[in-house]
Amino acid sequence: MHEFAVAEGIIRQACEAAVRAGATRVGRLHCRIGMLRQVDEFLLREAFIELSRGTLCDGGELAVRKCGMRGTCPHCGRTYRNLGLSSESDDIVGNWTCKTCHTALTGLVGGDELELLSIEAEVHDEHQNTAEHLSEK
Amino acid sequence: MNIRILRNIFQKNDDAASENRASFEEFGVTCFNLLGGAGSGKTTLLEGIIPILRKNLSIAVLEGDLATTRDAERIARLGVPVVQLLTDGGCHLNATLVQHALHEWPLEKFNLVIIENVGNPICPANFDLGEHFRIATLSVTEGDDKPLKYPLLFKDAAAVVFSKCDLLPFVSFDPEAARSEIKRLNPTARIFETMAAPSDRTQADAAHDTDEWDEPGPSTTGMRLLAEFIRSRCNHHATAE
Repeated sequence: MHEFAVAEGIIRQACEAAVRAGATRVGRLHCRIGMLRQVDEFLLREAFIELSRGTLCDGGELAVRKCGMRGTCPHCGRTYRNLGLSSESDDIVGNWTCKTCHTALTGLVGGDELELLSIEAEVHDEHQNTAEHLSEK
Repeated sequence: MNIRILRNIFQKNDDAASENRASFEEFGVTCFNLLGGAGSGKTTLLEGIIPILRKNLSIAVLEGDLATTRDAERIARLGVPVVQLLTDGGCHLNATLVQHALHEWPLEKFNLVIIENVGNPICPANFDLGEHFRIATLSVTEGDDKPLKYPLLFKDAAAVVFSKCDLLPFVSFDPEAARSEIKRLNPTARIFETMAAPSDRTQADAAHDTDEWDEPGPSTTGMRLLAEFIRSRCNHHATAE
């Protein structure tokens, strides 16, 4: 259930950036979340809808890019760019063994990303910005 | 209008964690974050190591729990200051909660602050609390397949403790399999094995009264080795300053 904390962080960062830019409404929010974070996307969206009410992000849409780990098989050299823990990634890691030679994969990097990349925001709207109530929390 | 942000989603938590770390540094305090699933032996581990560590170190414990003060009461019996942090249903501690608790303590009086996180193998691992290192617990009753299921828990831990090892004859936990999975995630992790047997705690209680351990038996070896590891990290930290 850390999805609520992730949603809260996304909304806070987005509202602050929107206010700085003089935007009046946030449309899409692009973020990158690593597989190791074990964030449930459905729960994240529910949390986002709940927590964004009354903020500049109200009605906004989360665009989540999940990313896995990267590495090379120590035995056969097969390269992996998006190893994940579930079928959402390009390569399912399963028991963390190489798909070609079944050697145990080790020294994998990445997969712990947790970033708000960018937001698409509108500048012409009559909504008042209500970012304060979140940033004060 | 497209606005580039490129910022850490947990920036607020990580800022508070940096402040906590700075407070620890200021007073020469070492802090570790103890993580693991519910029932993985975190509190029992503290009952085993605190009586050993308190001989040389002044210790304070921060107990994170969803509800009840049961764990804090167990720690208080060991005679060390403890603050109970109730998350009221929240599944993890965050750095701001820890910051509030730290304000209740004169940090200059302590060498070691232990944070026992909420029992949960997933969420707490996502939050830096300002600790210097992490210790993760995995009880043999949970299964040797857990490291790759909860990789973040083990990936950044300085030490991993296999707890309840005296139950090994009754469960299908292969310590070598678990060890090799952890090494794949975290090649530098130190791995310790401890027992669940009440003799650990009986000895711990005895040590509390007399400041002396009885004849160290096999059931206390893991706790003693772990305590030694923690002490070396504290020394290392004190020397580094």
